[in-house]
Amino acid sequence: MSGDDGDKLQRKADIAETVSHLPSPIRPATAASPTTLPTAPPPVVRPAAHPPASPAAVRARNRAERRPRTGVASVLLIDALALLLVLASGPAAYLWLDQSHPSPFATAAASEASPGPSAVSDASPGSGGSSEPGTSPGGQSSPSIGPSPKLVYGNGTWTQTDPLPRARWATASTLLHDGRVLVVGGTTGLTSTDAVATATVFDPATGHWSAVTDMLQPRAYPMAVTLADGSVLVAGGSRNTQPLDTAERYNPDNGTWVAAGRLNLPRAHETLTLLNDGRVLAAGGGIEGGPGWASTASAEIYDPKNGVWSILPPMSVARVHHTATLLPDGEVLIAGGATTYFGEAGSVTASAEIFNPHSNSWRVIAPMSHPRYVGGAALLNDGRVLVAGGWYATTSSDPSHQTAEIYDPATDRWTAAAPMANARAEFGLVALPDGRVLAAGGVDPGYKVQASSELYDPTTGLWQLTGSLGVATVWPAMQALPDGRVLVAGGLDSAAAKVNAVCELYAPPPR
Amino acid sequence: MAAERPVAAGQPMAAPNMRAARISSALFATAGAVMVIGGVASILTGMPSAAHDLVPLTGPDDLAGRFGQVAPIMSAATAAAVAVVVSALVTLRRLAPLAGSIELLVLGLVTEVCIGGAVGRIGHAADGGVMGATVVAMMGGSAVVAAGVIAVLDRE
Repeated sequence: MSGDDGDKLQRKADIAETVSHLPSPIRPATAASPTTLPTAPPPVVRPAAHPPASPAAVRARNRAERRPRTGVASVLLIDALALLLVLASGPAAYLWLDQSHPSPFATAAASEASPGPSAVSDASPGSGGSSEPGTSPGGQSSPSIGPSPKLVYGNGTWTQTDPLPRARWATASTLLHDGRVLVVGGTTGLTSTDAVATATVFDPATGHWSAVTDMLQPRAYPMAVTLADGSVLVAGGSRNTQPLDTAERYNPDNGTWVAAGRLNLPRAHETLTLLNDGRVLAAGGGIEGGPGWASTASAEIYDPKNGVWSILPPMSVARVHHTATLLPDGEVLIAGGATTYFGEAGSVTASAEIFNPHSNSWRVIAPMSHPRYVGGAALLNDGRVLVAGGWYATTSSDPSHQTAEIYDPATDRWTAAAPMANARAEFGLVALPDGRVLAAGGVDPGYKVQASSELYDPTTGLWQLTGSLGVATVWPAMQALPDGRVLVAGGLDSAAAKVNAVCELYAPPPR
Repeated sequence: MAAERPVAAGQPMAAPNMRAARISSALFATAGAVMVIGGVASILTGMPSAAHDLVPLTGPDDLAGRFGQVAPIMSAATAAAVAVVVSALVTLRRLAPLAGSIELLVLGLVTEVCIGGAVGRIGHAADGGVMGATVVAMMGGSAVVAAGVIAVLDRE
């Protein structure tokens, strides 16, 4: 035995002696203690055999034995109740969410579910798209939400209304599902260096503008389209003379902007078209390329369900400042545009093609009789497409023309329409709910900014001059309202040298 | 004098009801956390459907850029993950049942507040319908709250 073991034994003996002198309440029960102390509990001794228990004792024992089982049952009961509550919270949350967003979504979904010609004819063409000339996405479904308001007629004159809170041009505008007009972006200077992120809403009922939350980033020449769920997609544009590849979505219900993914290519002056299945087609536009910008034939599609931009097969030619129009059968007509851009050596195309959203493919159709870009296009109530004005070359003289032609999807042919009263490019062209088409502003062949406006009546096939704008303007935000009036907001005036905040409302004369 | 019933000596054991409460609490907390984390993951990835006002994340850079947008629901997922840890500690008797119960209650309520507060963005899918992932996440928060209530029963 070692010395350490001897020490341990000695310590144990000391502890045992100390414990034996402790008072009983703090003495460990296992300690070997004499049983003579009166306060000590009786030792537990199992008797050899139980004597017969009394009935009361048996009942007490049974109660004691049953208690834990009753406790488990209680816990299981509470578990079941908790499970029921958790399961009930699901439908409760569903009902809460379902009721928190009543009309726009439900009706939008219904409208999306039944596209087709009727939805197109109910729509107010020209709405839901960009203010950019030539991007009139006629036939989009957004304005058809809810009952159509009574059409307002006047004497064909323009009247000034509340001005834009901030003078700007190169904006995008779109009609919200509640009938108000959202105007976003633009620039306060002559280039996109002065691009702004400002967004404002015009309420036709009050005639006033109200500011909403700014976009996530400034954009000049953005494209905007109202989606089936009532939110607004804004994509591309330019800033500091560089095209943008970003997109964002505006929720009119809570006034917030969120990023909407990235385009596969930065684009400005492209077209955005809402398809009947809820997706959005972005086609062409100006992209960054040396030494300046170049136009692109690429196209991509945005799916609001997953927020992703997917690249599509390219168009047959590169295009910028072209037109895109949703046809009654859900296809998209792309016409004209500049194939090269920003230069004396640029070229303008008369070609046209159609995008099939079912096969995600392009089909080249017969070309227009005249090449044109920065013109305008509008869907007529009979399903044909009117294309008018624009420039036919990119030379410095910027020769705009007054020709117009009509594409008939049924025959797949272009036919000449009566020429406009005035040649114009960079103007606004919108279809009215009653089927007529209004062209306003723009520049003439001498690059003089125009105040004139004219109406095209498909029933007569003629253009007729109507009231003039109070302030001549080029590249304004132009939007047909559900009640038949037309809003023009901002733009450039005085030979494209001054940005204005003037807003005017046009009430068309009765037929 | 009636005979005394024998008393077992040695380490005291938890009654069956306490064990049942602990196990139930752990099951509720774990199931709830799975629902919350799954719902949040579904919202963030946009699978199977994207939220109406919260575009799915495209990567870490996007997450960093839009952290403010996704922070509330990521907080909910974090609270759910913590609830699992708390529940495990209670089950392993490393945390007093009452303290664990209170923690689970608070974490469940935090989850509900985070999801409910972000409902303006994530309450509806991009196509306008009610966002199923949000409903599931809210149910998960309720389950964590229930786990806290049940954990109260686990008292010596």
